[in-house]
Amino acid sequence: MAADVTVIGRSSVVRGRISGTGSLEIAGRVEGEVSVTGDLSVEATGLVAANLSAQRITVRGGAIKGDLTAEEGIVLEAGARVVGDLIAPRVAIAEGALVRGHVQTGGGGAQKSGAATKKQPAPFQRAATQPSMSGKNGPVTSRQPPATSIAKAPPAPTPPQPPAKKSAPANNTMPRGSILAGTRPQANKAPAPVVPVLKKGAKATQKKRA
Amino acid sequence: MASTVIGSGITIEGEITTDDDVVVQGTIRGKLTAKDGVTVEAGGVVEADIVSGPAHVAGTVTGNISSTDRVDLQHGARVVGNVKATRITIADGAQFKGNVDMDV
Repeated sequence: MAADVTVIGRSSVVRGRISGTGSLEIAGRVEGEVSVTGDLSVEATGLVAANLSAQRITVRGGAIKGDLTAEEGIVLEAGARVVGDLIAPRVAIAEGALVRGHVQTGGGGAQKSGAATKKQPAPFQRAATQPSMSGKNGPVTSRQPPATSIAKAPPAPTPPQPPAKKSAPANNTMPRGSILAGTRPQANKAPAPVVPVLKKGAKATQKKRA
Repeated sequence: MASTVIGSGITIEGEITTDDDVVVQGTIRGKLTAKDGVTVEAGGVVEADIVSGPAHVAGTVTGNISSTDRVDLQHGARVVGNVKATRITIADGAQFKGNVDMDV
């Protein structure tokens, strides 16, 4: 069963859900959802608008819009374009790969590429919980890639999101503090436009990075 | 190369459109449209209408098959649905329930 490789040819379009055991190779277009137990590779001609879930995900090129979740590792090779989150014990992003999204790595001792022993879902669950307990993922991602590849892209994906998240609560707390301090009632009206303005700014910075 | 293969462990629920050959060893539910040939191998399950070039069926098809070329129902095939093609063969040992439509 596992030896069978499913291939989505370069002129093929699949709309819907792909699931099951075995490996999958995408050289065409896939829209929907992909969940396989084996290896998943996206070739240079692949266009994917779907959340991907597999044991190992290798992106040799092509474009992906959607979240990537692997139980063992994700490898983005040069030429890969990904808009979405990357979640795996090990994530490698090669120079020349483009990523926009949240990256979450983790798993005890899974930093080196030789640690291919983790095949059961259990270590992945541990990997998923550990980074959230340790806090921010920025340091994790910057630490991770040198083990497998050159760290050029990782700093890029992390900055766009945290500033947007951090700036919004920061502005919410500021007016609250002023209300508690008993300042003018105008302070209640002011925060409403402030938040959308910052959201626009956040989008603009994202567009600049694109 | 270049063809599309649905492996035996894989299930696709949705629509497949391709200019290539399609080989089905797994399961497809939805719709299958191929400009070139479609092969449903033994163990393959297609619960979908098939529009294709030459079609070779050795697995299970539940749905209508419309081919611009020929349809071969091979030994072990199980087809429930109408078949429309220019040429049709039904091998000994193939199960078939449905109408046949040929250009006469």
